Amino acid sequence: MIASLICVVSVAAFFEFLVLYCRSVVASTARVQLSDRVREVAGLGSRSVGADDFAHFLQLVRLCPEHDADRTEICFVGAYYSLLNVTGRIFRALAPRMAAWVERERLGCSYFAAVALDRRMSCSRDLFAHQASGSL
Amino acid sequence: MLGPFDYLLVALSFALEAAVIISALYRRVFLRHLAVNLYMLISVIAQVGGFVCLERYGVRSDQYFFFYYYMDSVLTMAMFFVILHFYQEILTQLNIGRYIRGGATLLLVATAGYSYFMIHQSYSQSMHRFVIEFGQNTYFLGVVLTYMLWAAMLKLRQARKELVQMILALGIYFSGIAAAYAARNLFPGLQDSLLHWLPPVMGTWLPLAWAYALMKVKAPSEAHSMAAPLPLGAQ
Repeated sequence: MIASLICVVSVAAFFEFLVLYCRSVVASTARVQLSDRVREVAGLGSRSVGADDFAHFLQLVRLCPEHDADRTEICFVGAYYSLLNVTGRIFRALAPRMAAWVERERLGCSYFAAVALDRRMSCSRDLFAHQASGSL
Repeated sequence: MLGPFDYLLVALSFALEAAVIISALYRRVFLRHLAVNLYMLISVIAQVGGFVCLERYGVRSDQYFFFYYYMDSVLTMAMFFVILHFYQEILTQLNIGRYIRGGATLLLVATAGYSYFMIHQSYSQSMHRFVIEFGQNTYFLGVVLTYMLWAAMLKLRQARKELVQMILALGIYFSGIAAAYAARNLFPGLQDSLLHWLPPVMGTWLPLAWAYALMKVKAPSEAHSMAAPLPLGAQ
């Protein structure tokens, strides 16, 4: 009886802590302003980042030179986004409120990817500028 | 007999535990997170000792069994000091360090008394069953303490990202292992499959997350984006 109770509570706590941990990683970029350059490259125009844009941003991120500082975070957020996709599909019909929360989380992940793209692009630009000034 | 994946996990967690200590030294926060680093140091010693025992006596030997579970108990005790360290970090502004130390001593004495009572009661019974039950209870106590710590963090609006991530990683670790121990108790048949891997995977997760928090997460003085909202109100 006690073992069953501990098992159920621990599994619930595990998922809650996992979601909170993922959110703490995603939240670090929530207030970062996106540059116009990223909007242009991603073809966003005047619209804001959408929940389904994650894969598109990730493709663009992969085109930029590797950046050690964000590689782990991108992998981690990618895994979280996949988990959210599965959860969203399950809850879409069963619990619309839960599905709405999942959608907000997916949006956060997409924004995270957009910020990662922005950082990689500015890093590449700085590197290029540094090399160009060195060769002159 | 251990497989290549077991050896990989041992090597990986050893490297990550060493990485936590090195990154704490590099970031000059070794003394600030002394309990965390001591835990990692004990963990490294336990890994080496466990490996020596395993090579010398084999995985089915009594020596390895006792070394593994007694070292696990020592590590769990050390982990309670880590939780207390986090409590002190969070509640520092309330100036109640004296009460925390008092509570910690009480908790340790109670845990030791409980352990003595349990050992006294169950020594004649199945020792194997006892250690699993004891592990399940102590790890679950860890879940409860981490949850209370998280609640205190929400209440006090503490949002140091490094600390937030370290505490949440600890919550994942404790709840994962407590669930594994409880499931082993409920379904002994699963012991050789999924439940065999879960504790070592969690043991690798914790130093990975802590090393990441210490290496990559910037301290408030270093970061401009620290104003970013942390999931304090997330439920």
